[in-house]
Amino acid sequence: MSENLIDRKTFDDLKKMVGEDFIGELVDTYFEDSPLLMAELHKALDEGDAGAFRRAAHSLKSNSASLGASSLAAMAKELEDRGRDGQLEAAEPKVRELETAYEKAAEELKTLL
Amino acid sequence: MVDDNATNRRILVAQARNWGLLTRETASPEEALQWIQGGDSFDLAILDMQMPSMTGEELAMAIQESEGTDSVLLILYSSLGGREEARSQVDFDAHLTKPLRPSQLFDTLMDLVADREAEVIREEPERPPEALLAQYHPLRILLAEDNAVNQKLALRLLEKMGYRADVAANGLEAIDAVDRAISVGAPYDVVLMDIQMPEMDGLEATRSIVSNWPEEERPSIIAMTANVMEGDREGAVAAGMDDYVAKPIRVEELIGALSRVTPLREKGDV
Repeated sequence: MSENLIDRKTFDDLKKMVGEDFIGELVDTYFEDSPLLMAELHKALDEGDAGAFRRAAHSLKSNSASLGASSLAAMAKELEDRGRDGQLEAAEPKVRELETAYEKAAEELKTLL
Repeated sequence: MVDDNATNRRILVAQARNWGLLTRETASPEEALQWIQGGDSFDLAILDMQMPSMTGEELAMAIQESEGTDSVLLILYSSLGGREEARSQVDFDAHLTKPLRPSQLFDTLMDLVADREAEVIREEPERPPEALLAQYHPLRILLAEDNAVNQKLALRLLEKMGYRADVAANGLEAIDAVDRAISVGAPYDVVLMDIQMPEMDGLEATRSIVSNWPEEERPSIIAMTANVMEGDREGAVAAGMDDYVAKPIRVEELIGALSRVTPLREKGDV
């Protein structure tokens, strides 16, 4: 079953909104930002910092949603909720799931540019 | 739009069309009346006062007497000032005077339609309406957003509307930027305030700005929020925010929210 990780309509709407000449820059920023945010997730887990965990997850959620990566955004939201509830135990596997999904989403985004 | 002076009429029509308004125009009040009595509906009527066959006031009275026109907003457009309005038997919703600055027209229209519902009729625009907003509705804008992707996206959308915005990366920077701008006499008209930011969030920054500055000196604050839960919006309002746009940002919402901002230069006017 092959599922698009990037919602085409959202991405096309975004491209129309910012212009074809700018979408590449926006996606590049996403590619730069996301690994940093995922690293922040790991660091927050190591330090038991639920607030930092929540903020990094929130940003990932927000960015992914903007680009049409809705299942990624949903995963990030789940992590954000855990951060808000202070439930970081057993979050590690969820973070890894998100990272794997991100790799696939990034590949897909490259094909759309 | 009804004005026997073709040049005046065409200028008004061109500006209104640039802003996405569907307009019909005529030099003849009789023709305008025929449209209305024939069942055509309008949200707004801009009527020149001095017309040979029928004055704008007479036309307005005739419009009001027609069926189904209770909700047409009536704007009188005239060369004279208040003297004429004092004699008017018609309760116009607004009064524009010649010569007309585009920003005056824009602000008047925005004030009038602020609380109204109108059916949106989609037509292919000749050029993107957002391209001109900054020309007719200049604003000094501060964007408070820590997230790089959202920051770039917002700045890009603002740029397409003709706006340049300053940037703050968290609540503390936002407060500093607002204070500094006021102290150098170049205050922001509006802050686009992300709620979730590190160091200090948007709600706290808003409370601080609202408590530090009187309304006529401080910027309007528009919350940018991905959280659509009712409670979050109430929280934004309680903190002193004037409006909100949902994230991911859509250009129409941004245009709408910015259009509703009263620039500081006008806040002092009563």
